[in-house]
Amino acid sequence: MKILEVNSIRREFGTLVAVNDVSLSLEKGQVMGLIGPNGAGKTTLLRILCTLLRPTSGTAQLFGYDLTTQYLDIRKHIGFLPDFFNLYSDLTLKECLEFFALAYNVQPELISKRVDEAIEYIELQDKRDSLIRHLSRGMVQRMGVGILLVHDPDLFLLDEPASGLDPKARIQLRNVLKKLSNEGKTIIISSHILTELSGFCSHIAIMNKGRIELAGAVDEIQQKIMGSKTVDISVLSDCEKAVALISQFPDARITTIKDNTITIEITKGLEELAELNTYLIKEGIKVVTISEQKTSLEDLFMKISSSEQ
Amino acid sequence: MSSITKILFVKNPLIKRYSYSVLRPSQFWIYLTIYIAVVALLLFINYSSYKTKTGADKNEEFYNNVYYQLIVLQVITLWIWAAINSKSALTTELSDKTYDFFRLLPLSAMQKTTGILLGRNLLPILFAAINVILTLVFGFLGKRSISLQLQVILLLISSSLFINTLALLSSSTTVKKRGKTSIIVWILFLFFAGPLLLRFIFLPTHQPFGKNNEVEIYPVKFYNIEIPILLFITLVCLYMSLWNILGILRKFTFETEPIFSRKGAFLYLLGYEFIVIGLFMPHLSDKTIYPFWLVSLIPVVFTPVGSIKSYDHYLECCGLRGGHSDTGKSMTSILFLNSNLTLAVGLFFVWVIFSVLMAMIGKADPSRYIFNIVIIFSFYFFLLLLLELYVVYNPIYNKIAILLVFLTILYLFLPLLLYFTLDIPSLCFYSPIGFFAQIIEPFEGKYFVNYTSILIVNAILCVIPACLISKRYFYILALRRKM
Repeated sequence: MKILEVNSIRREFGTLVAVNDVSLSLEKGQVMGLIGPNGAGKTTLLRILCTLLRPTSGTAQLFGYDLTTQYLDIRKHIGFLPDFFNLYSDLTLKECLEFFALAYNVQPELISKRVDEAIEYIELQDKRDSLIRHLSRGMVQRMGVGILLVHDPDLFLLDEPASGLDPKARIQLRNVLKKLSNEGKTIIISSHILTELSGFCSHIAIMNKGRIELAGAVDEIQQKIMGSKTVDISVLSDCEKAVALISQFPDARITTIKDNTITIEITKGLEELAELNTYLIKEGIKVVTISEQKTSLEDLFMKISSSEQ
Repeated sequence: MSSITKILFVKNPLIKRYSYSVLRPSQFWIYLTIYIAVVALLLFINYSSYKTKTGADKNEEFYNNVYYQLIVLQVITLWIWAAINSKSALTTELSDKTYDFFRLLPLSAMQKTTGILLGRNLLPILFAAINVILTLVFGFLGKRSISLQLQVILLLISSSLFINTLALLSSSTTVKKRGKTSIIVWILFLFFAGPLLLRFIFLPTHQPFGKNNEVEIYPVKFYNIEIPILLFITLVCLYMSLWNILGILRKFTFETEPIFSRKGAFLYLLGYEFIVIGLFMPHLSDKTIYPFWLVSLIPVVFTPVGSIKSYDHYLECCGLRGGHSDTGKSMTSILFLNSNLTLAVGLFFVWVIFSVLMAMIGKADPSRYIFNIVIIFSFYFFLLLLLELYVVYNPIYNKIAILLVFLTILYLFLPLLLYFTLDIPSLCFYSPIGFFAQIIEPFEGKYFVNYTSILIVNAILCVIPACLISKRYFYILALRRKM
């Protein structure tokens, strides 16, 4: 089910074109990492998608609603966490969550349950009746996720959610986001710190100078950009023989040999990898493990950046 | 829970949100204590002076004194305390960095408006409600008529609505800006409503009010209808509040847009002219024509500022509509139609229609008033050009406003200054202020007013700003074509 469909969105601020001809689509359950350097237009794009900014031109539909004319309907379905935010410091956590539940039209009989669940989810049970002004920055950031959870949006739009957090708070927030991703929530998360996104993004869109340079599933982009998979083959013994056998295999290229682990680059798909495995075993090599090295988002981003230059 | 409470608190979550904070016992009792102390003090002081007095009407005087003072307390509560709350609602959201969440709430602009006005002012409203009861009690004891008391209450409600909506409007226009459009909101307030509200403040000391309840029937002639003055001010306040609310709704819906849309600016002007004509019509003569002109010209001067389009707007509208070839309009004509100058000239044209009609009804000398209109237009157009200079050059020179304000002051006052220092009376006619003073109250003696020379001076003054503006317009068009 398509949740988001963006066609040639453009946003200008005077002479600055912050978002230029961006087209994008997102299916339910996908987690898209919006990556790019500072000033790439990520925040502007997210602010357009969450209806805070009107595009100068172009069209977009979220949940079938038009972005510019039916923005009130769209707001009921989305949860946006801005890059720099705070919450109502004069309210307690419970009151704040209740307010957002009411504002987002959660049924009155469900409000109490939702509030309890959200507080538990962000692990702030002991702060339930504390005023928000007494929370640390990391707690406020988690509370930000809490106010989104309380109305259970169909799409989470998170703009640099971990910016300004210390490492511990960053890990705690990352765990919360991973939990959301594992539960099948649809998320667009922007960051220029790629480690934040590693591990739970199914899709990425790379932005630069207001344009989306590349977008799609992480695996597809990885295959497209890197052109080959990096695979570690660990053998029990006969490492030299294994190296010789692998060298005869046409689609594989040995890059490093360390102890009994041979790292290769294989240009074809999984079938060829399975064939190589069978071949080695047939030749009497005791293969302990074959594992694919996942390319990090950093590698991918650097590769794209360097190919652009 | 009654149905009204349900609608207020459940249907409008903002009221609930504010109620959490302001009705928290830890702070509520502080306000309650202050309120009780003020009322008790007020009663105590009046009772102390009552005890020392003699005479048959000393009871009545005591009740009336308390009655007036309670009204003043009501005014402080609703006009000052509540207005400060309304004004600070959005600025607090901004400074607390919660403004994005506020904007994203899936509530209509009207829900947000009522949510702030009622929710943020829960305490002032609560104390004002208690005050109303006390006022009514003391009013009855002081033999104030029911009709007068109702009129006073209606006036308090409408004027409070007006001031609070104005405060919220002014804060909604300053959000993410430097407060410049907020100034115009308060200027509009001073010009349009200030005198009305001040009059109300001083009414209690007005003789008829104090003695014979005459103020309840003291009539204002509006066209041919006689309306009691308090009721009339109430109606004007409600009308102004309506425009304030429309402005707030517009700002909540299109944040970067000006307070008035183009259509709104014309409608506002028409409504204003309707009221001013209604007030002047019963007293129309050749002597009141020009005071009418002056009063009716006020919105023509200030509405263009309330509907001002920025340089970014120009760029955007040229690009947006220029992109659609089916509109059949060139980018130049789109820029021309969206220009602040076009709107202002259009508003002036509407004013001309009304002023000529009134001059004709008042049997003024046609040759004189037609010339006067042309001269007024020349003053107006020069001031407009200064405003437009600000719009198109502000992105390059961000301090240009200072220079333009200086030039405006010079334009308005230098001729007057020269008149006083050089003692040449005809010089003062080169200032719009001097010119208006002259047409409203012609100077004694035979001073020759050379209309043509005023026109020539204004035309010369317009040349440089017009050239500079044209240059920027061409730059916008060229830039847009490149983008």
